[in-house]
Amino acid sequence: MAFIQMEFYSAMLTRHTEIAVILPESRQQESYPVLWLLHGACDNDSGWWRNTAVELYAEQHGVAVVMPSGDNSFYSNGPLGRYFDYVADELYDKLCTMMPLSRDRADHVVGGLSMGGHGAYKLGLMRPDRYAGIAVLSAGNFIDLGDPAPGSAFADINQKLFGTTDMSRLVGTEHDIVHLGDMAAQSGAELPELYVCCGTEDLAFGSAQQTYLHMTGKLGMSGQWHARPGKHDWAFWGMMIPEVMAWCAQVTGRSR
Amino acid sequence: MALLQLHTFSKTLCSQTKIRVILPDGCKDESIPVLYLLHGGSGNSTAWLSNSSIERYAQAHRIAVVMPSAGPSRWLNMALGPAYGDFMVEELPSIMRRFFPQLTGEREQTYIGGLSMGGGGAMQLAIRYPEKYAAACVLSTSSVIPLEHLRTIKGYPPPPGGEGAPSLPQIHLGVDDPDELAGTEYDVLQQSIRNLEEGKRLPRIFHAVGTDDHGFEVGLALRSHFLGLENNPYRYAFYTEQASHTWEFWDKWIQVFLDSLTRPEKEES
Repeated sequence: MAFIQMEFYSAMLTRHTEIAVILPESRQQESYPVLWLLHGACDNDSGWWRNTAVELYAEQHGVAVVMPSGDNSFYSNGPLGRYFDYVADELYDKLCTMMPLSRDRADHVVGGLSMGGHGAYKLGLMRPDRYAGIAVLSAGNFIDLGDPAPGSAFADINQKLFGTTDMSRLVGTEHDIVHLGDMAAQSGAELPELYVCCGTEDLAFGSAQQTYLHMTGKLGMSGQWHARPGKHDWAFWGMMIPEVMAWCAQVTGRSR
Repeated sequence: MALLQLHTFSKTLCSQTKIRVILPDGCKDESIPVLYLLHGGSGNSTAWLSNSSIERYAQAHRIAVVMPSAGPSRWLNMALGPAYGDFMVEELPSIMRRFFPQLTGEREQTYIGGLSMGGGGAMQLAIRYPEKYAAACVLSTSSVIPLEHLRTIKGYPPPPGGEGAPSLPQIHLGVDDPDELAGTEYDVLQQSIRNLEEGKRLPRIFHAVGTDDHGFEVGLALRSHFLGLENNPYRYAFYTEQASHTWEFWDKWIQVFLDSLTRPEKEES
């Protein structure tokens, strides 16, 4: 098992950034399948490895895990950097060159929690050519959740990032996950497989379920839905990461 | 000597943040002086560690060095991003003292310094919050409102969001040209005079810039301003040599600054 922390200059972010990478060692492979694992809001590349046993399960399933830092960007191209292009292209090219990572679409899953689940949907639906799977923990279409409380940190973040705190104005834009799903389905591209889990006590539960049903029902994506007792916290994500990792191994055809 | 990487949540930034800290050996229970050391544009908390020998100098001078990350900011509250200025002056010192109680809480042993954008940040923060810092080390900066028109390169690096996205001055300050903020609290020259009028304790200012630096003219104008104040109340010292905007220069002059903390009588201007 190798756990790598790396710092480098990102042209898409126009500054130095940091990532964490897990490269399993127990099963020697010429090129590893990859889970691109995205953190939630108010977090960074350290969230997943500090708060869960992601490394243990990556090793068990022989899946490499890449954890980038997305700040509070929602993984969109925005005023503070081209975060979408950074993850989808710049980081992909850099890491597939530097490390023994597969370049086959079939070997790439993008996943994340909360804002990172939003990012996973976004990356997977906008780049179905790149990702064979989307793993979403505790997220639906965040614009369903209503407007942030006036004066809150999120009101400030949303205003600066989206130019509005009125989430209804984001319907039909690149920040609307259902819209991205509709676009992807219309494009005729092969859509990624979908895994969604959410805690039944999570405020995002309704949105997570509804969004999942839209993707699998209306758009015909192949998927799995898991509702479990739990909240919007690391206890839930720590509990779910073994399943997510097992699902990644299955989607990428590497399960034992 | 210990080199630490601290991951912690910042309420001000609404994010996890990473801070690198050098703690010198042999300080026992005494209060350890602190230098907040700021990276330049496109840098992060590892910039000084990767490109200079700061760890060795910190040990020699028995000073703790705290290296935070300011993302795409100017170390000020951003128009289109987090409030890095508030983080620096209000939250970071309390985070540091909470985890490392040996660090000083005394202004007289608290310093701020940086290179390029970080030099500008150090200058801005020291002038705007003179009660927080005993000295500022300003290296090679051209980020000095209202003198930015004197930069010998025109324009600013491309927008982080790509073509058509808000410019760096827009992201940082909400204006197209930073010098538009002349006369506001961002105006370092005016703020430095206001501090005098209000009878504040003033930080000492150590300023070095190379003659081939794109900020050299800015530096000369800054020098004229501070040396033009009666009796040099900021104990301002200016240093130059033939050099450009490089780590060789910063690696050298951060040592001179650290020397000046223990031998202030050797200042020249």
